[in-house]
Amino acid sequence: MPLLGLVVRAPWADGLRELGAPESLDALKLSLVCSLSATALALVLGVPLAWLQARAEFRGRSLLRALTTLPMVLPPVVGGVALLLAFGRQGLLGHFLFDAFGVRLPFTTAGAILAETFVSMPFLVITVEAGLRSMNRRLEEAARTLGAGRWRVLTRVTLPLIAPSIFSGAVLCWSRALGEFGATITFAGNFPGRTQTLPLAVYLLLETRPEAAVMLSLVLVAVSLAVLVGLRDRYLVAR
Amino acid sequence: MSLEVSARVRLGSLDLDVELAVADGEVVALLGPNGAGKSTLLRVLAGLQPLDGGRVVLDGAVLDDAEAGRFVPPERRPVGFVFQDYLLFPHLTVLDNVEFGLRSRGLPPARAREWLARVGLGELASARPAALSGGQAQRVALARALATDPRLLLLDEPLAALDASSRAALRRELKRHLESFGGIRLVVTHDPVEAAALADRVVVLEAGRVLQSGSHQDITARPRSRYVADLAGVNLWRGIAAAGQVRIDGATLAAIEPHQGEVFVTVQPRAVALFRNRPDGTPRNVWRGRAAGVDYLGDRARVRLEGTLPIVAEVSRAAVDDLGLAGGAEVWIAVKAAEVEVYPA
Repeated sequence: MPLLGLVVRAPWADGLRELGAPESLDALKLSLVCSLSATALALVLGVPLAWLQARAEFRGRSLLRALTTLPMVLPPVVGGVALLLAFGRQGLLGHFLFDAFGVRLPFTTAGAILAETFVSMPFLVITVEAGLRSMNRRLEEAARTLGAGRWRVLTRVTLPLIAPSIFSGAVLCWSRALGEFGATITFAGNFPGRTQTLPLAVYLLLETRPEAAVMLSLVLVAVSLAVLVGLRDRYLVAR
Repeated sequence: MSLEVSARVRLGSLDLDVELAVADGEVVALLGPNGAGKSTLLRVLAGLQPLDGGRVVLDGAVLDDAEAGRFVPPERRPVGFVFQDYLLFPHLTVLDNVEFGLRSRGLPPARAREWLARVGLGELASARPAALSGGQAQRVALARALATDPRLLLLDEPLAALDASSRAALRRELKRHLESFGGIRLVVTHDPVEAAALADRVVVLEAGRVLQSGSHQDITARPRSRYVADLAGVNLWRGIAAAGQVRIDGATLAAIEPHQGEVFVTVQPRAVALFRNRPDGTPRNVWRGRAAGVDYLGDRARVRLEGTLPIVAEVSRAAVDDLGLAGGAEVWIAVKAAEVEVYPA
């Protein structure tokens, strides 16, 4: 029903013009940059994390897993506050980052990317971990009896075998990052061209130019729908 | 040039404690029921299962020594492994599967094509494992393991995943490939036919221990466990011999050869005669029993008999009908003393 409302009220005639407006294009571009960067960052951090959770035996593994998935259930605003406390000027790490490297994360594009990564990475970690757990580990043993060392087993057997999981996880992660609002606005603020991503632009435009907000919303809906339809078959087959 | 193993592993309910020496060029079949530790022993040799105690020495090189803390990882052992379910890499083509080991060990990958041709699969080089039949997958797994020129070849139930119709042909082919390979070969199986066909020597493993070792004939002629007796299809008891008699759980069997002390006793089912009335004359062992079950094998039948000494008899189908054995008739059981084989336990 809400979707229907969106479609019915869409100012189709002026819509394309609204989408072409500079601030809409800026928000769109920034959203793509931030969400893709967040996905890349999540891949770099999330795949090793997933491997650790699936394969390594250590104390506190269930605690680590809980912490990893926490951003999924936390209100994103709370995530943003937590990020501020950690990476803000007065924050635990942010304080050090600024003093040592002059790096400031809050209210920057990098901050928006960090906020999106924080919220969206769990989707990747969970999917990749499930992939690692469901793969036939004896294939890795077979590779070792054929003379492959651990690195070669990882790059030639394990990663290719879980490639579908990594791909699904990355797409889920990306679509979540694209729609991220709460943590981003809390941690990175709402500066056009710098931290104002599509969802933030929608929120702001609702006050001033509702037609534009509707059109941008439709873009987000279309992307999310495409992702879900694209992944659905993969998921049904995998289960 | 040989393999010397003394392996002690505790894994769940399995308590493996095995001493085994294999000469160079020998084909040994590890025969035993499920859960006996056969596959675990292969995994120990491949370095996939660490030892709790003991050592593994191949061609004078120590691969494993639990006490000295020495352990050569699987990728640095000159070992080829053919897994029961083959474990071909599903994301690679047949050729890439065979090349995998060569590339991992820094050998020229061109050999992969030769090996595929040798197992008759040259045309399937670019196929994916999912497109192969069971027999083809088995040959690819064999080519993949042999291509790296291992010193020790391990085969875990190589024919178990195949259907009965193709098994005999593939067994002959496997035998041919095994014969062309010069190193030590260990084949795990629970099929005595396979063990007899492929191996020079059979080692019987039960509950983690080596129970018997020798040629297939030796082992089936003198079984030392219920498992082997069932495979060989003979009656086996354990008893105490004295003065030409063997006492078994309150029953007594007369034998010809004199023995003393703990012995095994076997009687071939074909040597057991059944009568409606008490037979006169020569047989020294005569007792009463009741037919408890009949299994037909062509025109013969195996009859399970309960009585003071339970026994399996093999008689003709006609005898089953005459004596009413299918209906659980009471009969006289007779075994000549000459048919009672006795050997020390």
